[in-house]
Amino acid sequence: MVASVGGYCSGSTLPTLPIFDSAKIPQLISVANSDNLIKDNTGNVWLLDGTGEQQASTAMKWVEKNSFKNLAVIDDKTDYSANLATRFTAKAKEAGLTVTTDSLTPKESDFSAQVTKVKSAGADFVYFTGYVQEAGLLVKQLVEGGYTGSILLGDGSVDAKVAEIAGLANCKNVYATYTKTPDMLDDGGAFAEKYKAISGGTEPGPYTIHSYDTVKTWADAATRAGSVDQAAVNEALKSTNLAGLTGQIQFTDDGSRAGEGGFVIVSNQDDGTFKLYDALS
Amino acid sequence: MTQIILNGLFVGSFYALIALGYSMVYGIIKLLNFAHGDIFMFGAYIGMTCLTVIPGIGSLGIGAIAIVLLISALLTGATGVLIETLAYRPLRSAPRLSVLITAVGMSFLLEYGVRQIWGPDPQPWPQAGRLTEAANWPAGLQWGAQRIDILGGSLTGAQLVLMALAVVLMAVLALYIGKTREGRAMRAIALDKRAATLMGINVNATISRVFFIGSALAGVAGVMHGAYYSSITFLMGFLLGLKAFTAAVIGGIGNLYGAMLGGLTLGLLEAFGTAWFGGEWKDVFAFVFLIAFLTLRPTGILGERVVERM
Repeated sequence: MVASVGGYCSGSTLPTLPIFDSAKIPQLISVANSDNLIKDNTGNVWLLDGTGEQQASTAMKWVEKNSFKNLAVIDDKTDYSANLATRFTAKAKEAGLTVTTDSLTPKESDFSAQVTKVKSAGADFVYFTGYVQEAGLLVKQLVEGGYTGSILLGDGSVDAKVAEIAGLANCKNVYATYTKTPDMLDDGGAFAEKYKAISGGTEPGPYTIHSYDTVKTWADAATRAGSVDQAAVNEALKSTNLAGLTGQIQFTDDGSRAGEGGFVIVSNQDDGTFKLYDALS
Repeated sequence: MTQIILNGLFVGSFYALIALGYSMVYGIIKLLNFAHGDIFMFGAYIGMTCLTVIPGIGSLGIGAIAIVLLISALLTGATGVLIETLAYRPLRSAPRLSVLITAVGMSFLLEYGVRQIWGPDPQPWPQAGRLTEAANWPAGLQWGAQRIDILGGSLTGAQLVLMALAVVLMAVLALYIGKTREGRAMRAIALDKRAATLMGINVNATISRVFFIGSALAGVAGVMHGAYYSSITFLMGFLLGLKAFTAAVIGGIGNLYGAMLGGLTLGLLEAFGTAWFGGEWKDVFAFVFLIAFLTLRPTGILGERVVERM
């Protein structure tokens, strides 16, 4: 085994770290993005997706752009979700804004307690950092519960199912922080066409270009190292400077993606699927 | 404060409907039917399927929901009877642990059977069967999809309709058990099965009837859950089943009024618990009460005052 490419959910990627680390196998993580993934990095973990920290900065920029004043942050206590919520809350408090925090339990259906809390705090902005199913239920119950402010979701909730569950009419103020998807590329669909030709007609999914970039990054490092040897590739990955589909790929010293992480604001208010709304640049 | 109470009563009415089935079955054959929560889930899936496959049902609005409620109640009731006949009846004289394990097996069978048929992803409830969609309410009844202020808090019309439906079902059931011949037979079996047999009561038929009613109520709750929350998953019966069990224990398991009281009490306890300690403590709070009741007052709130079970 020369390298590992993959990792969708931070919570389930975390336990694999020590196993790959024991053999110093380059672990290129395409989608999972909790800061905890690189906390004990010994030089073999590479995060291709922006971290929770970078996503929180993007969310904060969105808040400043819209001058929201009274924020509510809700997570679901899973690693990725809590991480993003904590980072965002810290930034918002630093900026002197009012922040109410709460958590919900995944797989529950009734979030009336959270709705009541958001409403009694008088919030004009809710950031939910959990996953699709709860996002749909929460959006529905917030809007039907009389909440009229803006709702921002984390990248774990970017899925057409949110509008299916919540009802499109309830999604008028729903946005999400997300990294680029194939349909947001500037190539006029060339990537999607090529992908379909190779895949036998399957459309690219939301994380196709992340995985594509991840494999390219390893290939680039192996080419520069002139071998697939694990130590050599890890060394070469440090000086990666590659123009990927998700943006310029460079790593910081701790193994996370350098720069802004490529986060943008998407919205599902048109037809329920999330589309680019504001690149914040 | 009012809002917290209203939230609690709404969730509590779901718990109460499901707890009734738990409590009735325990009252009559001393079985904790752990498959009961999954009957609730199965009811929701039957409802969703009816809403998608019956032609023309989409144009009926709330009428569609009423039809689906009825179909789902009949089918889940029949499923309950089937489970009792096939899985529990042969074990009626076996040690109680064997039946309990069989019930857990039945629960897995239903959960993963549903997963095989409908898939593991959460399923969105069809628009035509949503109580919260204004389009599903006929002109003049638009309040159904709106918020209604109650003493400083508010609930949607849909929530009020569901609570009223739960109350009506519970009242009918209480009358049925208390006033009819069949109800008297159920109470007699709960008191002493052998003596009831000697008095000429058809024990098997009566137990089947109990399973039918309990499961049909769970099926109704499943459709209500789908029509209000708009999303169902094959595992949703597990947690709700445990909550209903907790409600039954709090009220006094085996006792009909106890199940209703326990459901509402648990709903309120959870609502106040989450308001005071935060949403992540909701289940911890609920199950702490289960343990507290089992230790300090295993007969539940009404366990002692009413001697007769059922």
